[in-house]
Amino acid sequence: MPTGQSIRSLIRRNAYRAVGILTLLVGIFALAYSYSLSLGELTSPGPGMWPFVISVVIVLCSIMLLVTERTSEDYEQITSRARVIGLGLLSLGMFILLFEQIGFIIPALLTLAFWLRFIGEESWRLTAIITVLATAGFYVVFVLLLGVPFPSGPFLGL
Amino acid sequence: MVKRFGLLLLAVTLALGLASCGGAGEQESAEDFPSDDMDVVVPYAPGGPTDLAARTIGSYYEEEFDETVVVENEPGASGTMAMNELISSEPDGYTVKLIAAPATVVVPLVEDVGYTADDFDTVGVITVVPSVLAVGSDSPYESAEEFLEAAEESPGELSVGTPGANTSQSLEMQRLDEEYGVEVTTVPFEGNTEMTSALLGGNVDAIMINASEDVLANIEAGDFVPLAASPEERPDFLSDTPTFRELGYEDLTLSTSLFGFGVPNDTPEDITGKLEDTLREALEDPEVREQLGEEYIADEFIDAEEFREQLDEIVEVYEPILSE
Amino acid sequence: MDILQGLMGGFGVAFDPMNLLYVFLGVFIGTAIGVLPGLGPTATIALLLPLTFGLPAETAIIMLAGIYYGSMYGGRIPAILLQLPGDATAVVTTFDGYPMAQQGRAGPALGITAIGGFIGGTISVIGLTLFAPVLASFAVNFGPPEFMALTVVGLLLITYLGSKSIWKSLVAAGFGLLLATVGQDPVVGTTRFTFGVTELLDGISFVPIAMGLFGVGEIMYNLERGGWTTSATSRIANIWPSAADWAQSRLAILRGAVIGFFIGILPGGGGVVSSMVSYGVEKRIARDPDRFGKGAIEGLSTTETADNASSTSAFIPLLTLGIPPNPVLALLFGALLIQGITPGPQLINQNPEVFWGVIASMYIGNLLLILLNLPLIGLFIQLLRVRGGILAPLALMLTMVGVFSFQNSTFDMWLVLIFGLVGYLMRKVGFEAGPLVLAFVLGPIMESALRQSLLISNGDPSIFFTRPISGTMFAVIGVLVLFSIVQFFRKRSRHVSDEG
Repeated sequence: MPTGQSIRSLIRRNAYRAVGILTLLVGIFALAYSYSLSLGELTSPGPGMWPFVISVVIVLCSIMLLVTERTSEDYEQITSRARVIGLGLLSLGMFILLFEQIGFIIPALLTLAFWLRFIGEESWRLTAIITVLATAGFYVVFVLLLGVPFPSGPFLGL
Repeated sequence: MVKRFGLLLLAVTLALGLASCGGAGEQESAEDFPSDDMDVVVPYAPGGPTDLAARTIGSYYEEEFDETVVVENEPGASGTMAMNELISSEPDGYTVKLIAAPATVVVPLVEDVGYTADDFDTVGVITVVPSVLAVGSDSPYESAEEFLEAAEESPGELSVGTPGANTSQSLEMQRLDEEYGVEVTTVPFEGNTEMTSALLGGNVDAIMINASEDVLANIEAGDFVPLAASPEERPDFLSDTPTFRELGYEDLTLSTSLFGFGVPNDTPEDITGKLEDTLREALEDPEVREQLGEEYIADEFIDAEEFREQLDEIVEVYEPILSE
Repeated sequence: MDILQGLMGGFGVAFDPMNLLYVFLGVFIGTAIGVLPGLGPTATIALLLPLTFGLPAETAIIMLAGIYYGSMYGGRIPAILLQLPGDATAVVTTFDGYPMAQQGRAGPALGITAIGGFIGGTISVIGLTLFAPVLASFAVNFGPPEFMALTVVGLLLITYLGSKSIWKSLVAAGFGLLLATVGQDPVVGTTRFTFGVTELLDGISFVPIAMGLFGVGEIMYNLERGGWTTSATSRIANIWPSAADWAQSRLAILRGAVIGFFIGILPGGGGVVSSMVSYGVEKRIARDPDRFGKGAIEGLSTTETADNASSTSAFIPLLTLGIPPNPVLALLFGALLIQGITPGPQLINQNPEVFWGVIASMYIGNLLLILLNLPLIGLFIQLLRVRGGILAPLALMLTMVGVFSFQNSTFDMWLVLIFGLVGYLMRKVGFEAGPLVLAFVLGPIMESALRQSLLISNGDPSIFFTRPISGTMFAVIGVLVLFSIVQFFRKRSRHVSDEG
């Protein structure tokens, strides 16, 4: 019976294979898709020819990668701290959603505060100061100086 | 801790999301229009001639209406982003979009973009830019007849550069083959710049190009020799160049770019009318005329109705070609 | 001496107090927006364009030109400090610039590139002054087959630039090429790989890909390691490049200037390819090429020099032929048109004050840039003393806002997130983002060039070998490739015999 530990190390030892197989699969998918786009002929290529050629290159190189890579040296383990990354990306996703709906200021304050306090583990005081200053700074540079049309918000268009 | 904050963020998102819905403005009468900021949506990056045309009229509106006019550039996705923004905006005249024909009506013919050429109302045309078939100064062909005869004799031998796939210039060359049996090889480039370079470097035999100011300068300098022009009648600034129609290609009159304004469907007629009238006035203003380029303003204002008719004609002719 | 006379006249224009002020404004704004990645010179110039209508033509163009080369100069700063490349040439800058910053050598990195950029810019303006009309015809002779050859050079270099496995570089480059095909086919307009997403009709832009893969990916990577509270930033050794740094970079800078000047003239891919070529040359002739990608100062300095030299020589086709070689110069072209001046072969005779005024102002602008930038280096490296926990959210917010401002699209913001995640994963499994991004830039040029060439030749591929320039280029490429293959096998057989 393999233990959890040995399964993990098995995955780790075979990480390089997994990556090669993944790129190979994407390559094969792209190959099929570009084939469906009409290849034309070599002398008068259709829209599918160029992506087809690229896909062939990806497939061949993925195979070479699978053949030549012997170790997982270059492959780092994804640690449990990676959860923070998920959270960070999620918060940025929320930022974008909010930004579309209610403009820049409020979402920026929330996102910066979240990152500074909970991911950066700064003190509340520092978080508050930086959040407010940075948001104001971005607003001044991008909206007032450069005139970038941010979506407008609910309060006085902010 | 982190988790709890995530939930809080989610709750706030939802609350604000709900709050931002609802509360659409009431319709107002044309006399009061406009009483607030207006948006002009431009489906191109800032700085190009089309953008400048929109900005010129935008600032005329601003002066005339005494309201702030914000020009928003939304390039990307072949102008569909900008069109979707127009369609989803309130039909109250406060959102106006630059319509670039034929591009604006050709894109929905080629792609499933969620709207059709009928999903907006026209306001009027700002500028009209005809296309011209031109060769380099050292070309063996001195006239359109010579060039087109040579093309007829050896089909596909002569290459003609165009500003891109599915542009009116490319489509007209395709029609030249399909309707008149004169086959040239169309080589799509990206915009006027690349084509100019290709013709100067002798990489193509001719180009079919928007007769914008840089092209006119090249013609004036003698580097380009214009052979034929696309409109029904000779444009004033190319009075020595025959049109395709004069040369016997009766129907090749569509390769002319029209730049105008559009508003969402269901915009009250009197408000559209006000925008239309003000546009007509703008095009009579000497300063506006100079900024747009005198030669690109139609002698007679192309109003909402006529603009729509011209768009319909483009759709009618190009639909069968493009749906192949 | 016509040139001397013209140049003197040009300096007369450029030293006019008002024009001096506008050169300064231009390079100042340029540096500032170079530091804000994403926004870029195209958007800035477009925004400022209406303000220049009231200015005399030469003043307007002097300022706008200043913004352009100033932003190329400033673009190295976020690339080195935060690995945030705002344009394709800055991608190569990150290869050695960012490792240097991580080793606490941000000061020398910024310093040597400031000097290199100045030298590159100045050598290039001298070249522009002397040879502009002669070289102009060289640029139009570059038709589709020649661009095909140029991009082949670029793609071959990509496999050489990476510091990891060649197969990984190739797979990454393949994905870059594939991503570039998203959107409409350039010849017949069929859409590819859009899967019904209308936002993808025009394809994916460079900015969200580069900023996602590099900037966001790197931040996520550091986030997981938790390394940012005690990042390398606390050990900033010295601010100025040492004598050894200078000795190492001296010739690299000169080579970069020459390469950047010549390749930069070519419209389209000129800028990027010149950075890649100069980097490749340094790596090739270096005694220990293994250092490249890990903070080799000559790799960094040559790249930035070439970058600045090429952004200056890019003015040659604009000023002498009226052909703007990139979107930024297309805006300058538009600005001149509005002023009633059409750039082209006649410009030098009809509007010498514009032609020579701009050239003369570039000498001044380059000098102002280095004077402006050297004192700022101290300030910028303070940025790295800021704790990661604070710097990361600010950099992320800058990325988000910068990407939005690029074309006012929230879709691009989503792309940054997606590519941020991809960049992180690539980092974890030892794939470099550089080959992917560079291939992404070269891919569309290559496909268009290939297909245009075949259309022109009616499907006869001999067009690539029978034209003098492309024929020569392909011959050289062939010889170099053969040479490398032979070398590769020799090395291998030596290895085998050593072991045996």
